[in-house]
Amino acid sequence: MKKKFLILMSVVVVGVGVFVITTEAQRFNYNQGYAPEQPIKYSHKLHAGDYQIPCLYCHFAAEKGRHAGIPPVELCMNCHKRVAPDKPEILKIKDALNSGKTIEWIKVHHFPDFAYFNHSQHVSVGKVACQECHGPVETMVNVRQEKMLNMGWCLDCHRLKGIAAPTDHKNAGASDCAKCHY
Amino acid sequence: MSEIPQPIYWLDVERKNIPEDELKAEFIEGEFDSFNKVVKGRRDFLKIMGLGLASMPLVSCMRIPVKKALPYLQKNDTVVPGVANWYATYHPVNGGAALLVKTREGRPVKIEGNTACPYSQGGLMPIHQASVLSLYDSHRFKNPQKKSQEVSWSSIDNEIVAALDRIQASGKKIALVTGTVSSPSFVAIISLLKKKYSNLVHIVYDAFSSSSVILANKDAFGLPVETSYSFDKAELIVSFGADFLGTMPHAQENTRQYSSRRDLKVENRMLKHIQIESLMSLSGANADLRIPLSDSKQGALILGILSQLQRQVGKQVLPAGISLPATDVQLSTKLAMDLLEKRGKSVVLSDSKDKSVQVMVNAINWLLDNYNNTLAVHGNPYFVGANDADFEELVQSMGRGEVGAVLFHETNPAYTYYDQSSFKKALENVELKVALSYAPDETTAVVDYVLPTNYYLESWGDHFRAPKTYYFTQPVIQPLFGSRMSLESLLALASEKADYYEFLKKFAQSNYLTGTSWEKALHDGLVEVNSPLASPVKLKSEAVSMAFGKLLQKGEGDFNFSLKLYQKIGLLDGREGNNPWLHELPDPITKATWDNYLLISPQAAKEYALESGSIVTVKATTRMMEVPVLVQPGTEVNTVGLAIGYGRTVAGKVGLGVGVNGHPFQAFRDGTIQNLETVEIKDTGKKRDLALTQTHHSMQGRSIIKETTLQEYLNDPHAGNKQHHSTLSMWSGHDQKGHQWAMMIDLTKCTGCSGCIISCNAENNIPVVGQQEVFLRREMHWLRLDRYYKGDEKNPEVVFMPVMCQHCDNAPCETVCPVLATVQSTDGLNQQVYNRCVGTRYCANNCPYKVRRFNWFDYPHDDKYQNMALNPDVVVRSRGVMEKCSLCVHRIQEGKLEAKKQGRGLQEDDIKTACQQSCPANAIMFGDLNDPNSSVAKFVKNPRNYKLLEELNVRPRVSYLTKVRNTERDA
Repeated sequence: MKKKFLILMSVVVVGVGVFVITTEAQRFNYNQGYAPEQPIKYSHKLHAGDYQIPCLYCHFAAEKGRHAGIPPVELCMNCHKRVAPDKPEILKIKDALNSGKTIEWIKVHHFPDFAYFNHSQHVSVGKVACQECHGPVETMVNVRQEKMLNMGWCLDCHRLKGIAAPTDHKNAGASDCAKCHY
Repeated sequence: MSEIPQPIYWLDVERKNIPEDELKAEFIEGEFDSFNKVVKGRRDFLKIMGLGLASMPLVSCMRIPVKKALPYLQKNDTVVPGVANWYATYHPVNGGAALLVKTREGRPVKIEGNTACPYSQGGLMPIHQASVLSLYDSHRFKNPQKKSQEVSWSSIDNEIVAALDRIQASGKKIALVTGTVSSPSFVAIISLLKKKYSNLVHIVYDAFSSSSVILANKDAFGLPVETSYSFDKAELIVSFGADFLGTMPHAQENTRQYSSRRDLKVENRMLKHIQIESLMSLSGANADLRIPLSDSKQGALILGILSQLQRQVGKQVLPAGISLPATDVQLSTKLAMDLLEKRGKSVVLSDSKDKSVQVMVNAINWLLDNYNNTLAVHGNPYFVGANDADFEELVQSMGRGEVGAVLFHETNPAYTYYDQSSFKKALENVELKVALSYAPDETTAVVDYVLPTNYYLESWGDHFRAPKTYYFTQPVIQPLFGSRMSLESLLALASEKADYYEFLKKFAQSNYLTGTSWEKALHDGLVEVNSPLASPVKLKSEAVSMAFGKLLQKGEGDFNFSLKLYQKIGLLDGREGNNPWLHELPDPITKATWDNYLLISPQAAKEYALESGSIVTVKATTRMMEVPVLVQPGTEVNTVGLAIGYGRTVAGKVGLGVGVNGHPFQAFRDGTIQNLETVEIKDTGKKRDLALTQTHHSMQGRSIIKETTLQEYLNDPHAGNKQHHSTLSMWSGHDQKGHQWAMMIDLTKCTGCSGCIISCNAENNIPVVGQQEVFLRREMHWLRLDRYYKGDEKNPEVVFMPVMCQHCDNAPCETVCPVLATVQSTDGLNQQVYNRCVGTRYCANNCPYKVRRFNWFDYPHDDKYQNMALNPDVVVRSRGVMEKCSLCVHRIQEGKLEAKKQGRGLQEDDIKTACQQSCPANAIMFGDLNDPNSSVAKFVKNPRNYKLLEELNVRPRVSYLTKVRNTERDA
């Protein structure tokens, strides 16, 4: 009996182990689903969803350069000088501006140093919608990393869109290593 | 395929006659000594490996650390994160250079030449490019200092002004010592100071001054200025030791002009260059005819040429009825005839620190009608050049106690003056001693007050280049430390209101900016002003007679060698002595890094039984020092050379303890500080290694240089490049569609200035490894400059060849990489993927060009200031990873993206690699082989085009154009 139980248990443990490894380990270290608490309870759902403020109003650098950028603190006050100026979360922004000490947002989307990603390439040239990579941000109260953001995920999209060699030689190289790694 | 005998090339004297097989050292002696000290055997090895294995689970359990993203509070409209801003500015060093500075998020990260500058057109020398690293030198002064104690700006200003007022009242002299001044607003501030302090004297002192040229121009033509050259209008250059392509002021402009007239892709002729010199200089290495001749005999040769010329031209300039000192009549006649043939289209120049020689050179150019054709002396009230005699007089009067105050403005005489003990003793008699300097140096160590200055990248400024160009220096970053612009500090002493920016703006607008807005002028970095037409120069014959008398009086020295002090292309006079890029830059001729040494001819070395690394004592009448020798082919037999700029005693940690200080071997004679001294040499029997890179990564003497002469080239454009190989391949080859990048280097135009190496350093975050690692052949430069000698070691011909990754289509590195970390891209690049690389180093082993570099360590990136100079678009590689030239793939990506954003096709000018951009000689071309309009596509079928080691069938994407020399004999 005891022996049978042991065998059963081993099978269960090994089975669970294999299941976990085959499904979950792929996501290991990719931080998918990461949604840290931010120092200010800023809701993308409220701003981008309910009030329909365009993404590029705040993340204006996404069209122009490599980084989308966190908006400068002063930009919040474009509206919040008049809108809800006395709410405790807005007061934090005011404090930052008055004290000269900027807000320390927690970075959600990590990108390793050995890979190069340029927002403007995708936003301005590729006309990719923000949500394709960042998910439905306009529904998120607290922003989370929606996609896996690993290399296979990047390449899947490049291949689907047909910009990877050898399909398209005009834009050739969208699957070359040195497109992103240098 | 006919067999053509190849000329024999060699790398250095010691290895010249050794068969190439014996040079292939598999291991370097003692390379792993430090490892062997820790690991004594198999058991130790297993212990260490076990520890590594055990720590793996610990490391893998760690969560990715929480990272923060800090936004700007208030953003400047011009700064977009991740987008570079470029600003035009001016670097007032070695004649000055117009720059474009790339800034990222407000930090300068790369310096390039300003293409709008009519002279340099974008070329840049190493010293200017490397200056971006000096900005971030953490050893810089952080605050004003009074006797090494930090004080506030207001208190130090008040104390100095009070002391100056007191000294002025006492009637003692106030001396302001500066380097060469070419800034009109600086001249205006000096006159303000003089108005307030009538006792103030302005003294111009340079470490390696052009005093002799300036005084000669003053004597001969009444204009105390430097000579400006137009080598692009010359057909014959005769240079007596002047290194106009390397270390002379405006070298980048000279190189651009010189190379533009040696471009066989444009015209079927070349200017001819004859160099007569004692040490092998960069210019000498490029000369079509090089004649080793000691400096002391050059005066007689110049006189010989002059007397021949005056007879031919029919104008008497030398005193009549005199006998000339003995010289090689055949040579002087030949040179005189050659020059006469190119009358009005030739240049004669000399690097002599002897005014009399310079006057004779002026007379030759004048007889040849070269003035206002190939060279000019422009009157310039805003140029105050060095006058060595003034400084000599200052030291004397300080010693006599006549000087109450001395202000050193960005000069370092406590290091550069030849008689340091008497200088320091004289300085003790001065009541008020002030130094304005950006970093600690020997002079700031002996003064009472230090006013830290902004680096030029943090400063405003202006510069006038006669006849008509007015340049601006503008700050590209906020001051990093509590320093102040040097001119603002002087303004603070001169007036109540010290705002140099306002002063400069008002000054420029009222004097230069007529019809141009301030903003436009700053944007361009320069404005052209109306200038009077060049007036004909008239030679004053009494100046020539006087100089002739002086030349005849020259006596012989006491010892049999003459020691010549010279500058190296990286460090120059040593003002950037704490810059590691410049220390690690191999000298293009000797290929030495991190050192200075005594250059000696192979003949003299044999006679004294010396070899490279032997330490000798060099003894002059009053001075002596120990220094290692380096056997340099081409050195005149009775001359030895020593580079200045080394042997700093007060500097940051980089500059300390590197080499010896050669300045004490200077001497004041005939109104100028001379760089020649006769010395005695004795072997000490000791030896020391020199960190030379010449045999590292070499290609073991295979046929790699292809060269010919102009005459042969004109007869047959294939000359020197007839041997081609028909090769078979097992592979079907890559698909050659889309963009196909290629690079082409014109060996005829390349002068070996090494600007490309520093440019690559800055662009690609290449680490500095230090002298010890260079000994182990572990320097990391992606681009190396091979130097080959050919012929007689007494006077060899020199060829330079820049070699970087050749981006082979059939790359040998790719087939041996076990993890596919190096693969071919669809546009023809050989990609190195750092995050895949596991560091087997098979690729480096299999590379026939030896261009791959391995990160043996995590090279230090712990200086938070210097890290700001890193290019954020290129990753910093970690230990255990192979790296190499990427053909600036990030610049390719950037250029393509920019064109796509603008919705247009790619043009040739959209993409320039870092080395190509900075090349003063314009020797590097880069482009798309599939674009018929690109220059690489046009010249790929050029009869001069060849590929390195073509017989290996690796099919490189980098190719070379043969070296063509304008010599009269066969190659």
